[in-house]
Amino acid sequence: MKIPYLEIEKGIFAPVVRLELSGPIRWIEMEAYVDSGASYSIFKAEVAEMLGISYLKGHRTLLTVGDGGLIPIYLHNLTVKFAGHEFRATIGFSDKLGVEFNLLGRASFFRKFMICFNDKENFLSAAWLG
Amino acid sequence: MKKKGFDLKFAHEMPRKYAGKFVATINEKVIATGKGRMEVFRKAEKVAPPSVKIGVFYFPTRKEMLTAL
Repeated sequence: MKIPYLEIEKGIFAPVVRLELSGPIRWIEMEAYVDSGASYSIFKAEVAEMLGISYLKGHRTLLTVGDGGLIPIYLHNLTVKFAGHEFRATIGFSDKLGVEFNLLGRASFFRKFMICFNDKENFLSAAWLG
Repeated sequence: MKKKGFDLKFAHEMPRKYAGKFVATINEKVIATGKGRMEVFRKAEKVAPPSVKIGVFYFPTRKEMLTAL
């Protein structure tokens, strides 16, 4: 499946995709920057609140971020929809994520899909591996 | 066709229109925009029963996309 990059400004593109997360209350669709260097997907703590999840009840681990610092994330196993497929994925939530957007990292997603970045033509391809 | 239309709108039109803002959608229609994720979600939640999916998106600015995460 080809997913077009977000066109931030004319001629400036970024691999930001849409995906859906399921919680006890409802499905919520949101954006995530595809970060192949991230071990886990990290979503803003507010997203857990929207889903009706107590994110602090997840498995706590520490992640090293770009400035060398550590941030706590809380891992949950959730049902997600991405690129036309529904599956269980490990999702981290953190109130220390220093950017406004969510991150889609390697855990679960890069095992389920072969993901290729095409920066020349500004799209991401996600091939289902199952 | 509707889905493809929203894909293109999401990728090309909305990022420039809503740069630096949060947008809540229901059935691919914009319900609320603002500076806070929860703020726009709450507005959408008021008009969407639990069976209805809500979209909540942040559209980053160019400056935010110069990343070394």
